[in-house]
Amino acid sequence: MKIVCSQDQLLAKLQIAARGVSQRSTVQILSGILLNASGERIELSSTDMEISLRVPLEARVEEPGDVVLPGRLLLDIVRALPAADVTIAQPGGTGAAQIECGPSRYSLNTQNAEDFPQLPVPSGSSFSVDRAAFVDTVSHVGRAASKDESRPVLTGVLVELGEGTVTMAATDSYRLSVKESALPGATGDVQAIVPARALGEVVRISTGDSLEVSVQENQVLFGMDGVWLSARRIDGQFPNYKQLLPQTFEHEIAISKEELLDVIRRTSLMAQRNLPVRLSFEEGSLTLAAQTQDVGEARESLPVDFHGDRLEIGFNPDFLRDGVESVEGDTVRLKLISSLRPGLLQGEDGSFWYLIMPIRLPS
Amino acid sequence: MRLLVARCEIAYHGRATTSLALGDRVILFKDDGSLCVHADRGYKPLNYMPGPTSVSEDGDVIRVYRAASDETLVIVVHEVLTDERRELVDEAVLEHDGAERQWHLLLERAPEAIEVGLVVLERERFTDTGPIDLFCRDADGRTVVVEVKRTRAVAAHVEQLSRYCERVDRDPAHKPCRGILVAPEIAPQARVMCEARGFGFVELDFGVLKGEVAPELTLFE
Repeated sequence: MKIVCSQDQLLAKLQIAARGVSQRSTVQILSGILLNASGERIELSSTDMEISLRVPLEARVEEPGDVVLPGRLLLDIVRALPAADVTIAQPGGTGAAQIECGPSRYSLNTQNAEDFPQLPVPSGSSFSVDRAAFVDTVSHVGRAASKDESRPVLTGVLVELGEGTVTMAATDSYRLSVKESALPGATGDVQAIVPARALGEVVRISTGDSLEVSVQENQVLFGMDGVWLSARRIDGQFPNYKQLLPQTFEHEIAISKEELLDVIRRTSLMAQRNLPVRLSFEEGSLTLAAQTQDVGEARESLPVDFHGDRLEIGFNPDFLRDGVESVEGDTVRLKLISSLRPGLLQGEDGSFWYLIMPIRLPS
Repeated sequence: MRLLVARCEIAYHGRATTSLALGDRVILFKDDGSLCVHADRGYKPLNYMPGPTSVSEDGDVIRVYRAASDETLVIVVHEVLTDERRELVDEAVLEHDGAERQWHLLLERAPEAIEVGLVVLERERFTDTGPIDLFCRDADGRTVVVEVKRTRAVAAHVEQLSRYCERVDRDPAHKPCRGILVAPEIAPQARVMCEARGFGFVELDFGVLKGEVAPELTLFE
């Protein structure tokens, strides 16, 4: 195998492919990047068995072949090379690979390409959707997904595709984030739980106007400017999020988003060690307070249109901030029932909702 | 502890022969002579060597030799990003089963199981004689030091509580504090000592407590 390509092209593509390289080295081959050169086509592939990436590379193929190179090291080498043409060759198709660029020469141990896992390929049922709308929807809900691997289904985002629409939902059991969007190009009635990490990579990697989506039995594939990211679908029953939304609320308060965010940011500095921020609603005002013993306390009020009996409710300050930040528009609508029932954050149009469970406040 | 962050190459010879090409790494030279080399990724060190070792430096080359197993590590430093030495003070012991910590968390949420009106101000509050399990305030506003044991509390635990109370009493804001020993069972001698020193003691069944404490609020199970 022998290919020649520019250093900047190779670096740009390797930076994408390296995101799929396994960081756990128990299976050695997964720490590598497969470089496949056949005909005029060169592809870089990586996988950690949760997500896989196939990245096209513009290069001159002087001798076809394939080889697995150590992913991180290859990236480090190419990053350090001068801006010139890079030649990667494996004479005879076996043994060490030779990398040459200007005066630099490397000999790099390789692994057998036949040992590299077969990566999914898009099937005929793929369709093209509006990238910006898809990425925007992911950005609204992704942070509510759980990072606790003991409940895999909660580490995913439920993606429901309809005719020209998408609904995404994510929850870690303490908060639930749901966003409905128009998604030009979406077809069919498809539901899949996709790892939140995979969708995060789609947000990072994707460019251009459109995004190819292919939903298969066990995989979901996303095509972005020739790059294909595949992710295994998470098995399991996603919580029925529609049932979690309370039918009625006792209070609905409209608050300036920026003003509320600023107060949360300032106050939560004093909510250390997982302590809650306390929201106290009284006639015409909202006071946020946080206190950490032996550190200090913060308190700040803002005028709000609240009527009725005093209501105190505590929230995880990070979760509250996430929710308010995710709301679109200038106004946050906060709906509450009581200090032990979930609160709801919504924007002006209702296409996004963020349900957040309170924390019991010490009496 | 010496903390060296450097762009370096590393060669190792001993039980195997390995080499690490040029890269940015964190190298920890610990006070017991052990050494760890970490990269930006992964939790395992790229290279490590148990102590005792001998370390010699010659210009940009650092040689670490472990005589017991005839292992050598050679670090060629290309660029020093950080090089600092720190004296670390750490007498805490790693708890493997987490059981005691879980009880602390439970009691933090249900301090009334120890005493009505008790409020937990801080868990594992640092003192120079060890961490106080629960640093509390009672209904009268008096500071309370709670020592929690997951097995039978004995005389040594009362001594431990005494040390903590003595430390806390050095701060006029908390003096005079009270001490409470909490365990599934308190040995007779420990009870006598508690009474003699004015400490309280509470026997708690943590299994029962776990069932009684209000769970965290979640949207679903």
